[in-house]
Amino acid sequence: MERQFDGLMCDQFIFNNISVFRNETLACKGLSGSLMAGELLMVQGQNGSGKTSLLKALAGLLPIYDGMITINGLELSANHRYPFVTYVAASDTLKPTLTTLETLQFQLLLENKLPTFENIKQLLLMLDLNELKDRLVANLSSGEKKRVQIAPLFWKKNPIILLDEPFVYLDQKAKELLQNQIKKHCHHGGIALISSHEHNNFLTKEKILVVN
Amino acid sequence: MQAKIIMHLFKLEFICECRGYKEYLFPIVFYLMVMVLYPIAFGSDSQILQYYFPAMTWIAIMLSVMLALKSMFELEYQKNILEYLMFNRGSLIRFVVIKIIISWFLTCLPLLLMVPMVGFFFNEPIKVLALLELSILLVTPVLFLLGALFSSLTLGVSQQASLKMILSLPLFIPILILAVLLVTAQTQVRHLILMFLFGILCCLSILVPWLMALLIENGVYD
Repeated sequence: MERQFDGLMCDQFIFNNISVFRNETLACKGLSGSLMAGELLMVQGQNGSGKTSLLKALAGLLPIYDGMITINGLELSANHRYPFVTYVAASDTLKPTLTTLETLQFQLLLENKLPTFENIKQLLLMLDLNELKDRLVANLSSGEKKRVQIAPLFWKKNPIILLDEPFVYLDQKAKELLQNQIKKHCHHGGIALISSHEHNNFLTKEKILVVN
Repeated sequence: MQAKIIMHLFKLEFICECRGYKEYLFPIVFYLMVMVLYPIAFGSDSQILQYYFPAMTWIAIMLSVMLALKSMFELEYQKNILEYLMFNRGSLIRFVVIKIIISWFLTCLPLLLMVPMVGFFFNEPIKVLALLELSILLVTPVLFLLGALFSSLTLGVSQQASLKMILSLPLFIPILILAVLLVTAQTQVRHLILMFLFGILCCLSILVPWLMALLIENGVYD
């Protein structure tokens, strides 16, 4: 298996007995899971069962009340987990007053990378957004917004990807594109955690965590 | 490379804010309205109006700056962009600095242009107007830095806007006094105030971005 990540590697990602409080209520309680390089975990559960909270906590965006998260056998705090993680939120995180093209540039810039013309062009073509490149994000449809939002998956090279409801609003073609990208990521030895209501077994090594 | 990234980010953020120009129109319209109302309420005695012009201007400016600060970082918080920035601490501080500079520029540059025009209608001497411009140039960045700090302190709190105003008022009052004194005081005192304000500005511009990054890192947690 070849690896193409930015110097960082993650052979083992374990979270043990995670409890998270959100707005003073217990959002998820005692969740555990372990993933080796190349594995994918589907997080499933009803609405309000704490899938988003779990993913946010794993990304380091919510404090964990109880439990332990280890990468390669080391317990790491949120600050130290950030370089390993690519997180794509379920809600819309795009500025309405930027165009599609500018949003893609903005995403790269915030990660301290200089967007080159070829980079952006490639992304636009890949995500089928070339015709929408000068349209304001405010005027995009939900599916189109989602396509812009998942763009970081196609250029960020972090070993762990955490996707919160990534397939919502996407059409069949975009879904396949995203599935292929996730497959490729796992094939290269990456780890993926996906919360989704859909049962699409697109990877043979897929694990399932049911939250309730 | 770094400079290019900063310039590019600056440009994008500027374009983004300019497209939402309606937000920046409000403080300026507010300023003009207050300045129109003063003579109506005070009566037409031009001497009184001339004498109190610096104070009136500063009250109006301070209130319109408070209005401008109301929505600072609100979009970024609602859209979880601050969350996204947490993954890269360096870019968080950079983004905060760029954001403060741009919102200061878009709010205060129109005010800077407006003040002499309004002063002209009040028959204000050029010297007073020049001093007023200087005081605005020096003091509004201080207000913006403090306001930005309070914005990050109150992120995600309900009643954020009113809480922010109550928090900032005690700090804004001494600054208001100094700003008006800068225009009306005698030369020697003026030099002292000038240096004092400049010192505050320098301290804040170093401390605030760093403090804000810390606060946002802890405050983004819902």
